[in-house]
Amino acid sequence: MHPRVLIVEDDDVIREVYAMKFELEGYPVAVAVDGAAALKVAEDFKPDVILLDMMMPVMDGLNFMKRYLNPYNAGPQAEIIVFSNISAPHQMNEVMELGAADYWVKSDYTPEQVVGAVSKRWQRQAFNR
Amino acid sequence: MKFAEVRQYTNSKIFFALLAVMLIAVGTTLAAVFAIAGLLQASSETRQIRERQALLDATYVSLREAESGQRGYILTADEKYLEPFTDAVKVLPDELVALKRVTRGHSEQPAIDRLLSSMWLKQWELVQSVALHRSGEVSQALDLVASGEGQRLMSAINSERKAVDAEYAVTLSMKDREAAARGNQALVIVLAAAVMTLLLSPLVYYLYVRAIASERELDHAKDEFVSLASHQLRTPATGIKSILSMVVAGDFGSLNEKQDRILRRALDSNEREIAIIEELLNVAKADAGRLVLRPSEVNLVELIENIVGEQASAIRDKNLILRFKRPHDDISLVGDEDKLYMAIGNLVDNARKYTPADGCIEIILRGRRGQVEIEVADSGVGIEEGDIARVFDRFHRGRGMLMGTVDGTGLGLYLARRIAELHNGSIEVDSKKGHGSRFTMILPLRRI
Repeated sequence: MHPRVLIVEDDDVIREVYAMKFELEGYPVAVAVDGAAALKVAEDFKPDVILLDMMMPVMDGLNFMKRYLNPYNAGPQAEIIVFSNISAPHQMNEVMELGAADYWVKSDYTPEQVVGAVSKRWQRQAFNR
Repeated sequence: MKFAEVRQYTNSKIFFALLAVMLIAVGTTLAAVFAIAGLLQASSETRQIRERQALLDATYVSLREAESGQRGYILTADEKYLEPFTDAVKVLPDELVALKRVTRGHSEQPAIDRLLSSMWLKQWELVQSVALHRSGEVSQALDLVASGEGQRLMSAINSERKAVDAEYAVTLSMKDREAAARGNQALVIVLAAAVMTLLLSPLVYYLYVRAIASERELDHAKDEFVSLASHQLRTPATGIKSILSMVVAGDFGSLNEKQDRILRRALDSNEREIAIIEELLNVAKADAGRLVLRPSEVNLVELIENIVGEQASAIRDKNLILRFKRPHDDISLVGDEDKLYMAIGNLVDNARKYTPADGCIEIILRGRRGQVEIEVADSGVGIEEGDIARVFDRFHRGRGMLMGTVDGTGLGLYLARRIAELHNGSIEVDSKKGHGSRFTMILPLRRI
């Protein structure tokens, strides 16, 4: 069974391409254009994995994480993988401390590699469960 | 205004402010030295005058002693009066000669000369009268005394001495006034210097602080700009990479061989673009002193093999021979693997770019005495002598680059050196035009 993937990304091309790739591989996919929209979508869609961009208008990735991972946020929480083009060490540390599962730099990956990495993480987790 | 111009402008302001302070300091110091030298000169002259005055007093006292001795002896014929007389007469000639010598060339000289000749005559009269008396010619001696000649000489001496003393008093008061004036002058100059320093140092400090602040602001703005630009450039480049990689992977249907080949070329260009953006970002970080190392154990043999593997197809395309001379054992050090990969990769990249087809490139890795040397030598075009010192400069590019035959940003060697330095190492270059180049990165094996 594939995990449910929520892609939070303000860049149209990247959002659509990644959504397309995950759909092609048979994953249930939802998309959101910023952190605020993602909070709303996550409520209905109940994702297992969130691919989260950092620099976004309205609500950026950090603020989304602070709200979504809040202990008062009821219901099961998805694993957050930060998927950003900012490779500043201090930001990596910050999001990891906030509870991100991983930090991937966008330009280092192709959609195929991302799908592969998500799938690998998911299988390992399923095994641990 | 461009960054460099702003920097120059603020720097020149500081330079002129400091120059002004230095000129004022030098000027006031010189003026104060002259004033104090004048003061010292005046006081030393005063001291000399007082010494001459003391000598004159001593001579006068001797003469008076001799006279009272002579009087006593001639009037009483008592030998006991002769003792002070002979003592005084013995020193008098020397004293007179000394007095003449020390006053020569001074303002009191004419008055002293008159005084000395009277004194000389007086002591001569004294000596003569005593001599006459002792040789038995008492009446002649008494006549000499009674003639009043001695009396006249003595009163002439007294009045001449007053004239000399008056002369001394005038000179002394003049010197006193001069010393006081010089002293005041020095005081005023020193005070003025102190006030000017007090006024100017906050000004210089202010200019300095402002220059630093504006420099920091510029650096920050430049930094911010490069960061943002890199992010903005990376996003569309990443978009293209995602799409192309999916097309090439056949996600949108299978491709024929021609389509596949051309799209892979597009993907390569795209990868290169991303690498250049990465390089720009690293330069911005390095310039801001924020290129931070993430150290781990790095196996250099493996690292270089990976670089060689990555470059293999490009090397083959140019029909170059690439040799990697590895040591017998693995060499590992603690360093930042990604950055070392980039630095050594840049050296190999350059060797490939600047070596014409059919040439060869040699990479030698060796450990020696607590350090490791990574040598990248090529049989390429080499570097002109005048350019060797500048190859590590930012944005410096070789001739081929300028002619558009070789691509690149001109940042590769700059970054390579910065990365070596961050590992407490260095890079050396040895090259001759037309005879290839040899870059040697030296890294210490101890922990960073």
